[in-house]
Amino acid sequence: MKEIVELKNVSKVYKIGDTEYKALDNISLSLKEGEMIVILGPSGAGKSTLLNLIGGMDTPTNGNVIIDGEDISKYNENKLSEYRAENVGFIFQFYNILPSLTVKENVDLVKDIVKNPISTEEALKGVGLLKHSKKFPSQLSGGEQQRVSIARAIAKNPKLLLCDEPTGALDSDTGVEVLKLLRKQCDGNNGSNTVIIVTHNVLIADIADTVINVKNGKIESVITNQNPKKIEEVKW
Amino acid sequence: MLNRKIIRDIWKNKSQFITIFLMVFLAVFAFAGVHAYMDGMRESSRIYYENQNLQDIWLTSKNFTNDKLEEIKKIDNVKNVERLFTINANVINPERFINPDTNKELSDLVLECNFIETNEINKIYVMEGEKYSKDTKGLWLDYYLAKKIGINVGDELELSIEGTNFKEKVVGLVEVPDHVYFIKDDTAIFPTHTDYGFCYLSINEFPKDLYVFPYAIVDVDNDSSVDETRDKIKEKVEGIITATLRDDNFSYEGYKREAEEGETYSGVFSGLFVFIAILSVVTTMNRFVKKERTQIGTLKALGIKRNRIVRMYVNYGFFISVIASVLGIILGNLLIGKFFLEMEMEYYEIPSYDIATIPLVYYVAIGIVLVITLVTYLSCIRILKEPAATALRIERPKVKVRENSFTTKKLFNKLSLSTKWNIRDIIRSKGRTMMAIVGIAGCTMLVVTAFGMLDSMKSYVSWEFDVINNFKYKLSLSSDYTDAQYNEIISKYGDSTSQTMGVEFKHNDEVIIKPLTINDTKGLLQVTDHHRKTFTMKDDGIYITEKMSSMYNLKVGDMVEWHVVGSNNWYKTKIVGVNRDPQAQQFNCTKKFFDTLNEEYKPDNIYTNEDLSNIKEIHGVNTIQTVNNLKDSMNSMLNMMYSLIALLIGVSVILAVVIIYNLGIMSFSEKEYQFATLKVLGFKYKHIKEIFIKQNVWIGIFAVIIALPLGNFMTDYIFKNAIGDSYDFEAMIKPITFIFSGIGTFVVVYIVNQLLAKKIKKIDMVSSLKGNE
Repeated sequence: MKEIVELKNVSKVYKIGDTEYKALDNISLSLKEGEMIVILGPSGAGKSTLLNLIGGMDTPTNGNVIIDGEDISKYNENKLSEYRAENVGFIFQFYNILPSLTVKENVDLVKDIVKNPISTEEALKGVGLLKHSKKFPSQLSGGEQQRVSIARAIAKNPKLLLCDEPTGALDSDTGVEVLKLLRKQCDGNNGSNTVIIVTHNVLIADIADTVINVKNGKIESVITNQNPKKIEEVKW
Repeated sequence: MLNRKIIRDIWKNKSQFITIFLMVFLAVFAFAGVHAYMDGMRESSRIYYENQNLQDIWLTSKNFTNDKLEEIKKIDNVKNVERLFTINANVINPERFINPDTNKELSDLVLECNFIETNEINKIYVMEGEKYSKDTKGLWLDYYLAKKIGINVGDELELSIEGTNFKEKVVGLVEVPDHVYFIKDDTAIFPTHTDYGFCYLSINEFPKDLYVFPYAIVDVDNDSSVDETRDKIKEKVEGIITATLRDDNFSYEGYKREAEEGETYSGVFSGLFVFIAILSVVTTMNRFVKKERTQIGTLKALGIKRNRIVRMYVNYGFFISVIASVLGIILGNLLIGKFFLEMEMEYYEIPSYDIATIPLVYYVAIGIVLVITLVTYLSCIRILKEPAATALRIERPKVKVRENSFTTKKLFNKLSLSTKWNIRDIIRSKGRTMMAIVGIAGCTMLVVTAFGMLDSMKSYVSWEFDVINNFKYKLSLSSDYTDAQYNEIISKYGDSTSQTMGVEFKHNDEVIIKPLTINDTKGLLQVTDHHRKTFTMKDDGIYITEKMSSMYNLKVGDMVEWHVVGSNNWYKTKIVGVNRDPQAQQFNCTKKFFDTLNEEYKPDNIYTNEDLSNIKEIHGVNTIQTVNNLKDSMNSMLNMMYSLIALLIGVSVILAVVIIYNLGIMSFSEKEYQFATLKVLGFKYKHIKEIFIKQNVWIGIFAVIIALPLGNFMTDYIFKNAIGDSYDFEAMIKPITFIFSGIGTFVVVYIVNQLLAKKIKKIDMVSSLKGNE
């Protein structure tokens, strides 16, 4: 499998007043296409920052972020928007779906900016929410709302699915269902989709193809999981 | 700790709080300012009239003898009565004095001389010099005139009354309560204080041996029954020609009308300022509190007492509106009030005047604070009533997608994303949309109305001076012109003449006094119909002006019973037509008709198109006026009104910009999270900007469309209902005014939203989304 994500000497420094805070400290990393990757680490380790840089939501202070051969750290705002639209699906811990739009409308949104989206019905069917398509997010449970967020992400048919604590607000059973959907996405498209999950839940690491441990803004280890666990076996 | 939150929240939402402050401030500033000068005018005159004991009744007769005065004094409710003799005198050698307006020597200086005995009623207010005494020689001169042309106490003036010359020393410079609004004659329109003034002298100073007292003034004990007293005097005292009350007095009524006219239209305006500002501020506070929902939920969940939370949120609106209201009252009084009062008082002779703040202004300011506080309180209580767990979550939209909803139709799906987004948003946030429409439409309406008033006033001046006054010169004849003088004048300048006289007509059980103009001007003084088109009057009856016709429910075909004031011949005449006049509500008839009555026609005005530019004096003529001068005089008088309208336009425009900016910033802050999500999804800046701007542009266009006719309606309302009874004109707004007001508002909406849209670029996706979590 080819490398889909490559980070070279990437640093991210935040300035809060006169103090500088180093979220990522000169890290380099390669991730392969078609894998399910889990980034593990305690709060404040730099996991989300890493995910945001890969997703083009933020730009590095130093270094290069190369996605599928393109250095996105050189992109301007517009190119980054195009990159996010065409290549990346995001899933957040608190779903970030739009409360004033129905389930269907939330998923429909992406059709206007993506060249080859999958149909809204297919995306909703994939997450088992077709029958709720006319409901508003507030009428759904947390797990269902997260599934809307997944449907919206996969409707873009993205190369990269980036998930920031996708099960963080869910109970174990619902979390497992969500992970199944993420695995399904990873296996789709002839196995060329890549899913990156940021979590502090070490149990989720067992289902990953690759596990990256981050601590104090540095990569502590990159472990390839030869025998990932079946998702049904995970419980927390 | 919560105080720190208040300070930080205010800092974080500073733009919104600044706009709230500005809206309240502007509304109170305009309301208090306009009231300060209007009420100042009214209050200053009230005190002046009271202190100087302005007469309650004016009487005329051939001569008020001592016996007649005693007779009047015996009538119930009459407290005191005094008599006087008023006659015009020419000042000899007027060229001694310079007209400061033109910097030329005066060619003519006329003094209205009031010869009096005692001075307990209509008391002279001495600005400089001696107090009035019957035994003092000399004259007490009009202070305004003296100051304008440089006459001082101690100066001597030589006067001429009907060919008798006499010299008097100026012993005092004075103001008198029944000479507050004092002009040369009714064609002069506004006081110049240059070639005409008044003076008071003891009757002992009258230069001839024989004199009569044709005027008397009456002071009553009880003002509320002054009508009955007037009627009793007319009934019991023989030889009374006229008996009029304060409202019929030229000075009293002229001053009062000026204060009331401004009061009504600026009252409508400042009322609207307050209404629109309150609406916008309470909406903003309501939306602000709703935005704070999860924080309120968190505070509740933390166990902070309900009252403390409520107090914290109520404080935002309370303190801002209190500070804005207090500043609005202070600055409104000092800036608007003082400025306009000073400007207005250039024309009126009142010795001391000051702005006044009536309780209503404080009530309005307190009302604004209370409404804002109450709405904030209710918004907060609504959230606090929910369980903490529910309040911690974003509010569930109160909408349902219906099967037959437009948003589920295929056609809808073919629309662009921004269009779909905004249609949904409008449908699902009806209240918010409605408030935005009302806010923008209200401001546009104010702008249209303010400009519309300006247009309408100009249109009124044009109607009066370009259509009705179809002459170049108007010669006001002196009251004592001779036949020879008259014949010479008409032989030189033509016989287009008119006479205006007072007539009394019966209406129900009342006798009402109104002017009648006998028009023999051969078309130089036109009469116009409802549509301002000129027409020729018929000779078989009298005409009534349209407004008077509706005031007294008199129609064409009705019979009117009337008589000329001072004559005992009563007539029953048919109303044969209705004419419309913008500034004089009265009867009109032709000379041919008037000749059929048993009355003498004695013209008081002659109109001509001859060139009189080189003529300075005509024997038998008091004043020579060009129509352009009349128009200029009217425009000068209206300048005050124009200044006030300019102020209203200014406040309307600023309020409009603030409200539009506030709506934009609220809309942006509420959608920031949604825009951050769209940004994450890969929507480009231009897409998000289109979504943001489109809705506000739609709302702007819709609001403008409904505001234009509303502005027309409001202007019409002001002119039809708010101006004095003597005026009759409606809104005449130029199309260009509508276009400019509409486009102007739209441009403001567009620019404000374009500027706010730049903030989309600055949205930090990570912190925005995290903030929302």
